[in-house]
Amino acid sequence: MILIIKYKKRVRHNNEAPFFFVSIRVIMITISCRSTDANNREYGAKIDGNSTKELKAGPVGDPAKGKNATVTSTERVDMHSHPSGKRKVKFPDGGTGTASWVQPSSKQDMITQVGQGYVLGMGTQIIYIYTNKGVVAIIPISTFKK
Amino acid sequence: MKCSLFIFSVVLMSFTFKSDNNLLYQKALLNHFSKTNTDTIYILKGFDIEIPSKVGKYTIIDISDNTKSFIVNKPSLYAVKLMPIEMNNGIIEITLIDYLIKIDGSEVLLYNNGSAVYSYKYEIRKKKYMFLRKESHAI
Repeated sequence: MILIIKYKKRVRHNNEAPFFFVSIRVIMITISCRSTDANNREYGAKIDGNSTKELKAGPVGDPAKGKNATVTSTERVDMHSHPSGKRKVKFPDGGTGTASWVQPSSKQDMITQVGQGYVLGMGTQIIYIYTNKGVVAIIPISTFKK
Repeated sequence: MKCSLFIFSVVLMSFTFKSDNNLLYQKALLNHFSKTNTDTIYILKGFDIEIPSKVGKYTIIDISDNTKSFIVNKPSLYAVKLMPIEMNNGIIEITLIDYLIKIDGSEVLLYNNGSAVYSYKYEIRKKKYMFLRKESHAI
């Protein structure tokens, strides 16, 4: 399900930073928690004026295998999600850990970003607003849920 | 006699191949970190991969065993996981995964921050592996 929300919020980077306004148009992508595949792929969208177009979802990835779930599109990607999928991994000494996907905007996101971008961290349930300089604001997804 | 010669050849071949593999991992690591300023690379690897403690200018620290002990006094640690070598139509592929590692209580959390596949092909004339391409899988 896709829900498009237009929103204007007063935010600041940290407690010391000055407030500034950001206009946010967010696509809330609700994915079925029952499907492991759906939780291991990226979803994205392009914003053009007042219209938002959903792009083709990325391939299903595996956080423990390096097969990634990135949205790739010939069109500009203005917002995308980072998957919430997790997988148990074993270390050679018998210990275990949990592999998952990084939630904030990645280094690659920032390198390729022109203007302001949005990453929806589906694991942390946080929206990360970023530029090519780094994350400038974070907003919990719950802010947009009624 | 024939049998022992065959076994000797197989053992010799496996040593040679293993040594080539480890060399390719080192090449891939050098390529992977060529644009960074770090001097230390933390790695996660399988027991059959042997990486020396120094590769180029980088100090290599293997955190595969007792991973928690390397992170206990740090908020997080960047490490690279060396995946087993894959062969595709005579092309050798090495996948390196970038992980941000954190500890949450007793749990080791590995956050996949993207990966890259380095491909090599053996050139019979030059008798060495040649780098073909790097394929990035950014998240």
